[in-house]
Amino acid sequence: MLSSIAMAFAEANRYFNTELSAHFRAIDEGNLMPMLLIFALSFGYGVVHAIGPGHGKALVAGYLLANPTKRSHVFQIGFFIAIVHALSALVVTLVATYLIQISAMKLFRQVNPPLFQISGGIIVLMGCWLLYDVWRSRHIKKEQVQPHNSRFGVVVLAGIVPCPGVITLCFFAITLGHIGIGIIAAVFMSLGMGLTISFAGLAVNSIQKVRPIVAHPRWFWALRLMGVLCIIALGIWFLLNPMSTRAF
Amino acid sequence: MFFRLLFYACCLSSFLSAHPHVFIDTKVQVLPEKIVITWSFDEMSSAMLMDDYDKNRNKKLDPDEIAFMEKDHFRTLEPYSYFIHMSDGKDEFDLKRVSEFSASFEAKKLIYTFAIPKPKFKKYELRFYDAEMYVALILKKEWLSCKEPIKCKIEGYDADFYYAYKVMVQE
Repeated sequence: MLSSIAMAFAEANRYFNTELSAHFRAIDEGNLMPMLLIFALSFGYGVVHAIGPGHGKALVAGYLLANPTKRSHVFQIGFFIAIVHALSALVVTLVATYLIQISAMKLFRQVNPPLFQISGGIIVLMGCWLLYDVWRSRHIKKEQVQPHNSRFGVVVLAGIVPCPGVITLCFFAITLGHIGIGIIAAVFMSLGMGLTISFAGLAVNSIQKVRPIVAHPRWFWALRLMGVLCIIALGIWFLLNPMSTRAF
Repeated sequence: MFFRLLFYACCLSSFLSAHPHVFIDTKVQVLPEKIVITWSFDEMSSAMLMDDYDKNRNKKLDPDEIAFMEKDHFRTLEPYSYFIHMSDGKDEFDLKRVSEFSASFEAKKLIYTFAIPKPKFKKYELRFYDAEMYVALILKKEWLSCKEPIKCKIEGYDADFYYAYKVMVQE
């Protein structure tokens, strides 16, 4: 069961990758349909791509466990992360191609590992600050927890590492001479990723509304503490496991 | 309790840190004297790699470009065992030796072909996975061929934190 889900996930990613390639090549035939299909497929690719591991879902989950917030804020976090994630990928691709004229993959290999570790360090610091905040408010009930602006910090930290999927898509568009369509496709892809990240955030946020949690402030606090510890652990893991700079 | 939670969180975060971006259709030919592997990269990754290695931009790979590609790209995958891990069913062995590397660009896809030596076992598995899950190697029944009387089949393989493919060979 698990194996077929995992294989279906890889196959689905491959499907979108293949279809996008085919439609990008079909643009030159001159009709509008391939372009519209590219945007729709990019959105779908974003949704499916972000279901897989990565894309800041663990960080968002930890943060929302520690800081239960309004539904609208969950969507705000999800979509902003995806947009930052795609924008940083766009910047890497455009700088690599037009400014320093090396392949996007080479620049990605140079930029990603240090960014990954820097974001890990800041995630640990943010986790420590949230830990202090959670510890200080250990007697506060759920109704009194106020959502705070640190969510924008989470957005930057979770999204700043460029998305290799967007880099690949944009770079492919550039090689075919369709940079404009590539950028719009990247935006659609980020909207798809935003939807998935938001739903993951909503699922975690709804845990805070489960009856035993609502009824027992201690459990509620323990859940918040667990969220913070997840954030710190995630940051430590980023710090201790630098991304490889290998060929892919 | 605290350390257990931290441990679980660390395990979870390692699971949550990678996903495939490069897709390789993998063909496997089990011959009496060697195993021939053919990788066919997805079009997007092919375009990126061609941009790096097709220096004269003629959309073909010339012998000197292939030689540089082998040295600068393919051989750097040795620490990752070329994403192929052999097993006798108990222990897993990394791939140390590959030969007969060649590369071509056909139908807008980059294709790598190479041979690996056969293990000494009569019954073994070839596990195809990237431990970092950045590359998805896709195998299908129709891409597997075995020279009679060798028997082989494809199955899913649990690569610790995700599922990949393996080829089971019976000599």
